[in-house]
Amino acid sequence: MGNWLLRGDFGTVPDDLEGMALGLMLAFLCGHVIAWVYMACHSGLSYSRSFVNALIVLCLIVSVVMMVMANNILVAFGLMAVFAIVRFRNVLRDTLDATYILASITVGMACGTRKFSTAVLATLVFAALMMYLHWSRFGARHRYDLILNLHWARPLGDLPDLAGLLDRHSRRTQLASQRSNTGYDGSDLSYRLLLRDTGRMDELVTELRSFPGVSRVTSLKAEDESEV
Amino acid sequence: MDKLPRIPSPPGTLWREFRVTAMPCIVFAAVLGLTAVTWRSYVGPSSLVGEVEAVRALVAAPQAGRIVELDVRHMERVSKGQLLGRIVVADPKVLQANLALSKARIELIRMSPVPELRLGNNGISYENLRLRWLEQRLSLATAKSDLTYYEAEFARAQKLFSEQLISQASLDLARKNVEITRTKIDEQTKLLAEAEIAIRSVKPADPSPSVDGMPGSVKAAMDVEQRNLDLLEAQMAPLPLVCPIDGVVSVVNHRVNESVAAGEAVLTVSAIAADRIVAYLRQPLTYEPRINQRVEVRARSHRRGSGQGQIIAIGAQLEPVLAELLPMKAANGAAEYGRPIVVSVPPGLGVLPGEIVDLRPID
Repeated sequence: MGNWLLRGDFGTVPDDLEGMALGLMLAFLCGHVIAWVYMACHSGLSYSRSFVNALIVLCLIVSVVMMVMANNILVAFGLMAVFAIVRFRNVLRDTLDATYILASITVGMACGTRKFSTAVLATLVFAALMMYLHWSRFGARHRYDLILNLHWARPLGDLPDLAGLLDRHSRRTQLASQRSNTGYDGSDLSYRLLLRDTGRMDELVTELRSFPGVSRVTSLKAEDESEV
Repeated sequence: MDKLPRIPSPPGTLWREFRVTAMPCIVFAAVLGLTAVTWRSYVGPSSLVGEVEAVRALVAAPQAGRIVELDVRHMERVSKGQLLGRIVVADPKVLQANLALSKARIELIRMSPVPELRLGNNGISYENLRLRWLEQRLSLATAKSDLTYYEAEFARAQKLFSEQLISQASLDLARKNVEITRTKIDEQTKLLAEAEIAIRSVKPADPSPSVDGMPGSVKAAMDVEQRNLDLLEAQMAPLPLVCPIDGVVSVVNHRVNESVAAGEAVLTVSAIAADRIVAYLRQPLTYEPRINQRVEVRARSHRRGSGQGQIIAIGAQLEPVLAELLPMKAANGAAEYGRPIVVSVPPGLGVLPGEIVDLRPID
């Protein structure tokens, strides 16, 4: 890393690159753990992948905010004022959108307070983090490609036979629901499948329809964007 | 039922599965490892904060006077014993007046009713020679005083000539005065040496008035003038400013031709290296430091070098902690008290005097 980045802070309290990098990495790790805990513990219908991502990003951006403020109460007031202006003029429905705004404000403040190294490093790290979150689809809990509903006429004890067929096409199989009523032969099953090859989805449906005991097969393809 | 063969997954699907499931764990582990390495090399655990002792020495004027020479500049390296400058104690005008007064007194002695003294150059008595010797010393001192004046005039003339404010003739005249006076001083110095030899050769074994018939009052007056002349010569000699330590001139308080009071600092010399670190154990006191206890010293400068020092002194009471060692300087200026500890600087650590370091007792 060149000296231009190491010695680019001209603010009242210049930061050193190692300290900044350590702070940002720690913020990332801590935010990551918090996000994982949230994913594991969250219950209810309000789950949002965007919110999970925001947990990581916010942690990192706030660490940059504190670096930029550097115990300067005037800069802190400035940050609040700028963010309030943006928030007042634009209703941000997505938490992750708010983090983008906050990141832009923070980097702008870093430039304005002559903490150029901080601005460059924060921008690079923020960009890398957002690309990583997007690329890895971080926060997606229910990863499946296909929702499969069928009627199983045979005894439930024979379900392993069906599982064998599903395993042939599916990397991960989750029996999401199973319904059986008194006076009603068989059971209605609903599977979530993560397919081995999404291009051979029709082949799976064909094989299921010809499978003994399986009838009324319906499928619903689940896209990546189904979980925001 | 026979187990059905699994259909193969295309590379795109495998790659997607990898980046969705494995990538977060890999990235997390990589950042965790990088953080651990950075933490170990950068942060390090520290329980004490200290400052490498900054050694500064003041070069003060021994007497009130005027700086006539200053051979060093700001940030210049100096060594112990090096001559840094000179101070003339007496004011030239006062010195000239004192010399004139002394000359008049000696003339008064010569006018006394003692035949040998009135003989002037023809006399060969001891006191006559002594009186002549005093006159020569006085003349030499006057010449030296004149030389100081002429040298200053010549320096001024050189500056004016460079600015084309005076003629070449004026500059030559100033130079001539300096040269003549120097020649005069040289000649009189030789003459004085010869006179001293002559005095010693005729000095009586018993210098009582009965030996040469000289009245005691005249002899006493000559003694007074000799001591007065000693004083004037001592005042004329510039006092040297000697560097007390090896270091760098960190402050220049006065310039050439400025007047200074007795004891006033002319220069400040800061040591290049220090061998002690002063740290403070802040309250609450969590452990008892021991003499010779090993301490890890970690610099805060770039690369965060570290080494091992030893506790060499422990304060007996709590003292105010240096403000720069506190994590956040108190806005109201309230002092915090801690137990002072002196730690040796690890060899080869390369910390500068005044630098803040992190300390951690090892055992």
